[in-house]
Amino acid sequence: MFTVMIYENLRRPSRPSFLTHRYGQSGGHNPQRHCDIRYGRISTVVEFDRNALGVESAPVSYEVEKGAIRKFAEAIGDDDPIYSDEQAAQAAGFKTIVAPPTFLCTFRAQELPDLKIQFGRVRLNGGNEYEYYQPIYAGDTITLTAKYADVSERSGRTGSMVFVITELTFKNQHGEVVAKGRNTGIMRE
Amino acid sequence: MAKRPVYYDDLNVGDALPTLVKEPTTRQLVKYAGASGDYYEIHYDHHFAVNSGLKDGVIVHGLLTAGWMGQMLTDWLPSPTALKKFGVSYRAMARPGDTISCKGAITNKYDKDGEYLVDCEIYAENQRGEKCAIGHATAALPTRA
Repeated sequence: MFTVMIYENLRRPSRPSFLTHRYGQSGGHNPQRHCDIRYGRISTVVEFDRNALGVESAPVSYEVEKGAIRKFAEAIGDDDPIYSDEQAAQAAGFKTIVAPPTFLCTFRAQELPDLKIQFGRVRLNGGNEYEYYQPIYAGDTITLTAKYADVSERSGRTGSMVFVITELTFKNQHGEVVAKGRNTGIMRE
Repeated sequence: MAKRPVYYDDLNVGDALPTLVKEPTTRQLVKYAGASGDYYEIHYDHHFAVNSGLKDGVIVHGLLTAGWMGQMLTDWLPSPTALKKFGVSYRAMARPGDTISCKGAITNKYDKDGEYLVDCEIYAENQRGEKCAIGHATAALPTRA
């Protein structure tokens, strides 16, 4: 199961030493395609269905409910009244209640094509990044599409991990892109 | 809740952002599971978490930690819509019973396309000083002029 280890330019010298692995079968009959992925200073081989990358999910729309925003802010423990009280939101210059920055994570995308990665038992969230272009208001209808952008793999202190990057686009009922997102999913042993 | 105004002119690289402290409980994780729609059992079912390889049991949703880091920013900013970019990567696991401090500092200030922007590095650390999440943010601020 052990394969080549190729050192790239030492762009990330602080990383721990890496091992590389090959997942899935190494025989020629494997329907999954091989693909070279680079992460940091190592070039490794991860097996996944490259055809799944870049394929956009079917759009799915959600109505943004006042109560959903209020409960989300409450769960975080954020008592800013612009998330629960229309008058307070208007006094702060908004037309109505607005959503807090991480409210975007409540919108779930439709199913994405299967990457066909068999690895590990644990699924963790490695990171979330958002860019904001327009406020999201209570009463808006948000349409979400997603796509897999990248798959990579590395080994570190806690064992091997596979990273799956998903990109998200959020539009409102006027067709404006209100935000974009980039999620890093981790598959771990 | 009137916020103290924040002006671009008054900020300098290296300035610290006001700290926000959170003390998560299992109850809060359940509330967040419901409010966010993330029902992955590693966040509220001890046995499930242990069987999933998390030997110390349930962990805080990464996005809840991100939510606190977002709150730290929006408590400070004049408006949540001042936030233009926000990104968080998760490091150490946060757990119920921890004390999580969200902190940040300004790393750059510049004007671009008519907006006055500050970049911040942000993080959330536990009571042992371990970073549970690190991230970055960019905000657009008003000027005094």
